[in-house]
Amino acid sequence: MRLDLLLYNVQLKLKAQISRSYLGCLWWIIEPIGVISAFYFVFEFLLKRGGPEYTYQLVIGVVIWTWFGATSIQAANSIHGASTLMQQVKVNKLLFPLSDVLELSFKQIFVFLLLLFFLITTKGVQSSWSYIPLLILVQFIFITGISLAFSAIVPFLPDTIYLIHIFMRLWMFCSGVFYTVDSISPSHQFLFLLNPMANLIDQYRTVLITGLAPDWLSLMTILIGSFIIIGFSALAIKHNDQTYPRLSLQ
Amino acid sequence: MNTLSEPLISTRNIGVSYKLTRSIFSTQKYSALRNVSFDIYRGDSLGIVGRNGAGKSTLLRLLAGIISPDSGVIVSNQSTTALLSLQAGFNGELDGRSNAILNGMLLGFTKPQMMRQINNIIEFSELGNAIYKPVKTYSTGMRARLGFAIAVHMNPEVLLVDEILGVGDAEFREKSTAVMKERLGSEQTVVLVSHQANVIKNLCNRAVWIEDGVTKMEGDAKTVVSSYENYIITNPLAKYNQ
Repeated sequence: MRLDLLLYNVQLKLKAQISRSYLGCLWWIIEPIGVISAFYFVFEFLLKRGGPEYTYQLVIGVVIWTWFGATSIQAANSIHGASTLMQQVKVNKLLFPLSDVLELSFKQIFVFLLLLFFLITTKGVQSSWSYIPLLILVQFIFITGISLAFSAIVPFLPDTIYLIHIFMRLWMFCSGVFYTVDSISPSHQFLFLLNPMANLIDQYRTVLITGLAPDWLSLMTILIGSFIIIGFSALAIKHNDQTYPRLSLQ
Repeated sequence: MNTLSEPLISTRNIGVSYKLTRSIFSTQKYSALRNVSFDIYRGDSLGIVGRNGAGKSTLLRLLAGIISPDSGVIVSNQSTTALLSLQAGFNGELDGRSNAILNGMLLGFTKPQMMRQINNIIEFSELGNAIYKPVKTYSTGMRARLGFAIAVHMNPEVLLVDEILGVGDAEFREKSTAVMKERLGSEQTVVLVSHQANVIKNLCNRAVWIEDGVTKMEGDAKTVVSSYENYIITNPLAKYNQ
């Protein structure tokens, strides 16, 4: 994969988005502010439920899941959606899913900054926050793996995009976005945490709120698993390099 | 043309078929190319003639390495090819300049190379300030100007041109044809697809005639095009009556 092409493509994708709306890149901040304040308002002021801790858990769950969910779904369609371009140039098809991953991850930087700002103003800084870059890196690699895998499959059976939507919704409900691992019976917690996203969300909460270090074994396992998925997906995409342009004609 | 040397690209009995999926239970096979063979030599200007649906665009995609054949072989001794067509993959939301740079990079050039070329490309396209406007606001002619300007500045070893001539206003048409003629007369290897037979006759030294996915004739451009024209007159709509 040519890095200069990838980066320029991402830069142009972001630029195109900015030019499409009046407020441009302000939306990258307005949208998460809206989400965070809506949750904060509803759970802190209206429901007065679960205490302030619950609001933090919820906001973290939503922010972490949205990065993963939105990126995988957008990237799933990336190769399939590039059919016109694939008919014109011989291009490494990894460009399409990787551009989506980088584009959405770049926007996620602002969301993370806002999340930290929200936590600092309402709760204060903790020394365990130094682990955050590591968690972000592991999640980024996991997102890349799932995005490549989805994007490799969809061109063969475009209908799978609907299945992916359903699958992602189910996955979200299994990942403890709106609840924490403590609300699960102790005997099932191990099973629950085998889900990489449930695990990652739990780790973010541990680091950001509880103030403890992450679970290294889980992070290593997710990392290794992600690299295996990336390897297989990249091979599949390379193997089908001349098949994808044809599929879009059929 | 130098027919004594090794061909730059050689195609032998190539066939491409697409599976058209009607639904999960029924697929239909459609052969775009069945048996095509011809050679391209360094410095050639090869024209490909044939009716709509004869498989010309599929052939260009094969030569560009975008798809691979189902049967037969393509032996290629060249390093870079660029396919130039009117549906160049522009992003409508972006301005012409960004699209030109991205397009060149997709064709294999590095960003610094594109930055060095971009002003020449803009100048050649004669788009003026419109180059900073989103491509979605461009007319077909303006898109063609941009696509053509990019392609002539890329200098790939083999330039593949799909029906791009004869677009834009009269002035630009003249300019693009002049540039094309110059390219075709030079050492540049060009493969030109057109259903306008006279374009091939005027611009190419050799021609291949594809009829219904099969090479019907290969040779001197004037001879091939004349036979093609006679055939079209005597067999109107032959393909569609099958």
